[in-house]
Amino acid sequence: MSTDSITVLAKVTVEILERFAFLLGDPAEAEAPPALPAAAWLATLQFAGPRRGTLGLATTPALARQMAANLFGREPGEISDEEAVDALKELLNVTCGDYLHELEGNEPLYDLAAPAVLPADRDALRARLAGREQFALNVEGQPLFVFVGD
Amino acid sequence: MSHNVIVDIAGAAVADQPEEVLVTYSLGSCIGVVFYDPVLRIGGMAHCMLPLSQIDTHKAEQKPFMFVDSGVVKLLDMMYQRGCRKKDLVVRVAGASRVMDNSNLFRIGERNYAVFRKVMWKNGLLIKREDIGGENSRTLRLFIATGQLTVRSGGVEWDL
Amino acid sequence: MAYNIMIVDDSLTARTFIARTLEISGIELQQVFQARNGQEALDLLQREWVDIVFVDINMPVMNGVELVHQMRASEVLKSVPVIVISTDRSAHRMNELKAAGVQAYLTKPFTPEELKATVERFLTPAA
Repeated sequence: MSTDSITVLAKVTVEILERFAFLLGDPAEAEAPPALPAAAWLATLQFAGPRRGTLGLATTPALARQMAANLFGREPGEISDEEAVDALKELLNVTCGDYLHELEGNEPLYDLAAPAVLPADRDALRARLAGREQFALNVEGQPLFVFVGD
Repeated sequence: MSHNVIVDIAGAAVADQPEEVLVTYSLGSCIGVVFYDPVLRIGGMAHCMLPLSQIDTHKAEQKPFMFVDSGVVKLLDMMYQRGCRKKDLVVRVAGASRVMDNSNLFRIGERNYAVFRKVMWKNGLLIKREDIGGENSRTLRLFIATGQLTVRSGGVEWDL
Repeated sequence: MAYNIMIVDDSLTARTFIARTLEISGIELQQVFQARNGQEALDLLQREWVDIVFVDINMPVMNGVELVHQMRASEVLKSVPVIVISTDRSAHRMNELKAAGVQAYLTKPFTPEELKATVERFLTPAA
């Protein structure tokens, strides 16, 4: 992955958050990334085509719940864990589709696996992010970590 | 004789007299939100500057129309208080340009528009027409008698 | 006229978003059927008449491409309009589905207004 592709991913993620989930994201400063949450949800999706890899999102359950509330047109307090997890999966799915399209255009055919979401504590999250191309966003007060790798 | 009712920056107005025209000037990255009820012939217009009121809740109480989230909900309430029904409301929006922010670092226009969409979706309303983005500022005029909405920008005027 | 709609997508979020868009579009709905993959959709289509089907492509068990081919091979289902809604924008996939007789293709993310405009090519809103 080049610096270019991670720049593209950052741009696409901010736009998809706005267009798809009505959420506003700000890039976190590289020298002051947000703290890793004690309890996060880690969403991953494998893609295969001219490029192969895994795209991942990690965030707090609170942000996933806010996202689902926006998408379902309800309040965060009315959102179940199942709905919040599903919203996070669909965000990842849509982001991945847009990212690959932005990088490669309309020609290549990609297979996207079904997104998976697992809970992760701080250590597990740190291990997952280590050595991968990544960036962090501050999304309406909550951290969102985005990474891509093999 | 038509009578202009000026909607200031961070302001809003609702009008129901056929000679009235709601006008707002200099929409840059701000958004102009326009509701019109063709059954009751009532129109509302707001000129919102920033996306989310949570950055300054004190200000949002004093000037709710400064922010898209608080302002659009309040304008919608004003329409409903006048007896408008949701299913009759025609929703139009214009603005969110990149004027004065060439590098578009802060994406204020896009964010204003995103929050506007969020409020519409939450309230079960669809946008009928929109004129969003670009580099120029806009002036809006809503004619209460007919519901005609004109956009003037870069020396050209058209109907939205 | 009230319509029967079917939404086939493994994402609850996507199904809910489409259903809500249709609700607020002014299209009169009789029943909205939801299926999580192509097989569930085919099972439902054996029993229920629908006026239009929204189909995602990437789904477990039976994907959207297979579902479209099965529908087109059926005397009863071949004329039911299909709108594909997917993140997949490859020209190859779109041509394949067009050849299989898919009437419209929307890529995610789409706005409710875009979905409404597409649906109104096939269904008339209530007066």
